[in-house]
Amino acid sequence: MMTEYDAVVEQIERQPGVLGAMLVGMDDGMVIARTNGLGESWESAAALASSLYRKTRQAADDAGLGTAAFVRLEADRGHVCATAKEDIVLVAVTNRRINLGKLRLEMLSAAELI
Amino acid sequence: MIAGAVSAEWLDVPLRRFMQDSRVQRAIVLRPDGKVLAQFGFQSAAEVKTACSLAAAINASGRELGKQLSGRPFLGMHQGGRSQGVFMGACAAGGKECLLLAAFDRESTLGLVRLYFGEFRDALGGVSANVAAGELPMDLESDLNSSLDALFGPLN
Repeated sequence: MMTEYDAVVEQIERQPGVLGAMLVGMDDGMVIARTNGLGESWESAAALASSLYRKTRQAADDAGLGTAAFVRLEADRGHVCATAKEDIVLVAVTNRRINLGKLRLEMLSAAELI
Repeated sequence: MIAGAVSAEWLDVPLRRFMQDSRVQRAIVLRPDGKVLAQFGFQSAAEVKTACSLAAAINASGRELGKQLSGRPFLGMHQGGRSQGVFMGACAAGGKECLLLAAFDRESTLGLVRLYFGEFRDALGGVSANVAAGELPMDLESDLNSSLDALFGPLN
């Protein structure tokens, strides 16, 4: 049975250049919903991405910048993007050809559906 | 900053790495019968002794419960609190079973602890039976006491 969480990650995965998407608990780093595009590394990607988001948010907070709404990590072969709604982190893993502006808007609006 | 000490040499590198990567506060590696092999972060022998006894009991209960519920023993446990969590997982070194018990706060998460426990388990999987051996078949209490003496000195 498809849940509202599945619908959110599938909405993100439909974006061109997105390899996979998942919803992760911010406090425990455990996967709530995911698409299949991340292969076997989804569990570690989830734990690390939620940690990245938590730490970045903490750093932004500590620096007096307010809450970090969107986090993007650029790597050699793609990007990891994350945003959150309350204590759930929405993570997308993309290739290098992604339209980051469009993905950001899609993720922020999808996070509101959580 | 990592406090405490490690007893078994073959556990030193994997356990240090687990502590540093997962950011747990305390960890202890023991045999299922309660014999401590290594620890980080505990401040006294009494704490280690208590943790070992409880971990061995939890493991025994979990295994039996798993067998009764699903025909297979449970191999891991997590208890999440508001500010602290406890994780316990089973692994093997040189064909002998070990348990890792870790306590963590909001600096870490269950996901991270599980991730780095997987690496710890893999590292121990490469330890040969000769290296992981060398334990005398004593009873639980004397075995545990000798391990604790090696870690902290005799209890007062």
